[in-house]
Amino acid sequence: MQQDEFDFELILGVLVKQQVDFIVVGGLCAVLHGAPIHTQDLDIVPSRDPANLARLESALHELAAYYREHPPGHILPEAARMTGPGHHLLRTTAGMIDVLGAIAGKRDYIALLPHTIVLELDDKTSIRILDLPTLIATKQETNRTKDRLVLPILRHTLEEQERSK
Amino acid sequence: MPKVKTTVGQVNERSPVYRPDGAEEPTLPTFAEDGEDLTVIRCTLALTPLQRLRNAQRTAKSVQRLRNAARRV
Repeated sequence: MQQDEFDFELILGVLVKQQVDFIVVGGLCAVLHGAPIHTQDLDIVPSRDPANLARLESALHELAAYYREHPPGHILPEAARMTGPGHHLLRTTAGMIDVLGAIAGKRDYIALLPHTIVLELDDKTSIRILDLPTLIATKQETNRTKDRLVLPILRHTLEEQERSK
Repeated sequence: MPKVKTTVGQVNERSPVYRPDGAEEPTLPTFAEDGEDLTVIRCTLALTPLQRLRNAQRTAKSVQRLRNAARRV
């Protein structure tokens, strides 16, 4: 992978420009909360409303996204493929993005929405991310090795956030 | 938190962190009980979300640069 393929800012900017409703989850969500961890991709849970999936498809095409388990350009993301809770592992010109129909405990966009906050990255870019207590809860539920490893850092980040309030 | 005296150029029994002579003990713990360095978390919490995002991008690029270099050796 090339070094210029880690432009999370560009991917988020395209999603916002195309007015996609989505929630940032996973490692980058933890980073945005202030957790000092390393991540290689952007995980989002989009609204699976048909109009939103059409906007998501446009955004992904703008980023030249394709399913990264297959040769470049071989299988392209389509709204019709993303109506279920499955995970779509994509690669774009700006980096990797995982489009997740639902995460731990089959929590989809609607279920997660009450547990989100909106962050203003700059004047033009506001994004919705999972709140930190819910991110911790989902990682506890998922219970993969990589999630267990990061949980202590997330818990300490939450404690430090609360201490500094 | 009880204060612990340090001497010039030495570390104390509670923490391996060097404290210059005359420096006051920090008011907040340096490490969590599990050993996590809380000062790193405080540094990232001091950044804006955009700064955190850009740090993550820089880190990912740096790691990739090192991996690519390792493959050439």
